[in-house]
Amino acid sequence: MKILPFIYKISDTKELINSLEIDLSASSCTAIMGSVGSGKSLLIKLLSDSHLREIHAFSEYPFCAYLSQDLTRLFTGNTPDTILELYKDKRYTVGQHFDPKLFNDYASKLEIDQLMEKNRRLAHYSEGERQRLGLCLAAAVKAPVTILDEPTTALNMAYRQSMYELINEIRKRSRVFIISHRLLDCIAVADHVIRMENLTIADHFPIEQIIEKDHILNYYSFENEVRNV
Amino acid sequence: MFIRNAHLSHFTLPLGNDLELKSGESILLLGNSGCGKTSLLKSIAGFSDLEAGEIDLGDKRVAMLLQNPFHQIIMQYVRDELFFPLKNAGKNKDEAISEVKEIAKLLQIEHLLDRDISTLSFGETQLVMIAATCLTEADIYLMDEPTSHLDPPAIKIFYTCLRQMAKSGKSICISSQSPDEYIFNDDVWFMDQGCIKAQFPANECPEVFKEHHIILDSDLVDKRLKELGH
Repeated sequence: MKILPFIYKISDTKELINSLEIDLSASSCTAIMGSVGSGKSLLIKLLSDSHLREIHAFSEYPFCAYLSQDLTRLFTGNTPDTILELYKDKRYTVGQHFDPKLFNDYASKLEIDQLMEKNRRLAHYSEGERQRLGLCLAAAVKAPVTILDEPTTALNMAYRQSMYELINEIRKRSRVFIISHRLLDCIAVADHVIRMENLTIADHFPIEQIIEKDHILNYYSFENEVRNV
Repeated sequence: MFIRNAHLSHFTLPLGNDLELKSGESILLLGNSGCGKTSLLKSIAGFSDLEAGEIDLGDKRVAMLLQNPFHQIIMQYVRDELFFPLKNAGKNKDEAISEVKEIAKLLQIEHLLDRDISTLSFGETQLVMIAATCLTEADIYLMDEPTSHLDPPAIKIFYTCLRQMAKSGKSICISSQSPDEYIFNDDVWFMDQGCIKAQFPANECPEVFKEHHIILDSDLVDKRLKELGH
């Protein structure tokens, strides 16, 4: 898969622009890094949203499994059972790719299986619980591309470690894109990095090169912070 | 503010320790997902009832930022959203304009002021709602995972703003998933299954974290960078 040069008009005054041709075929997990509002999520929407494909930002558009950044919009009002029924429904494309066995496997790894037995309404789940459920659902959809948009926001370290293991499993069968504002998430799983800045792709490199990029490492560090300035 | 003999609803065990939030103090609330951080903050704010015990706010007023910033947007444009709490408090126009300007500068969101909130990214929305919460007149500020969608520079900016508020005598309680943020706070409360397991000053964090097997992001980053170097 390649990212092609493109221009996407966001509004009258704003454009997402890429002038590079980036070959990702050697990468099984690509991390998209960048500051707040730099266009990380938008870049990935150009791949996964069928309405935005006419921009031709990517060389191919396979079916994508997608974990959205804002889960409450997806879930409110339902119980896990009704969501699972939807995912299993073969009339939909997601249903044709969803593997319930994989889901159960992941659910026990991320410790939401017992939670689900109670079948509480999802509105009463904590953010972290919703996040883990969403992650298991997205991961159990067998697709050529899996997109995880900020999958670790409400997860503590133990669950994040389980998620890294889970991603390492998915990437054996699917190309993974992960968006995160946490350096650890990116370097723990990705083999290629795309760095966004001011609505352009500023830089891209194999993950090993990150140790030479002091400006990126400093950007993500709290180390030079003086306590209680 | 005092919390005495409290028992959070939906949890089997009582909170355990009695808590006090002094003015000018900032607390970091840590704990696993589902441990009751949000429940505690919501109980203090009065959004949910306690199973037992009492929360004594005295004459203190409370402002709260919800975990999902989209849940508390009222207006369409960023500028209107920031003016809303000031108008509500009956501030005059000039005063309101200068306060909005000041907070926008502090949180570096001046360039967003004329934007429609629905066009902002998640992180930008979070910054805007942080600004709106800070502009709400109160003595106690509760923020539920305000840094979850912010990158490290934005987190630093956010805490610079909070420190200014703490200096002027406000009390602040922040929940977070990332223990690395202890360096920006005065005290840490550590929760587990609806109970306060430990309370300690932030400068004791390195030892306490070791004892409770809490791993810092920065340690794992260092370890992984070393691996990548070989």
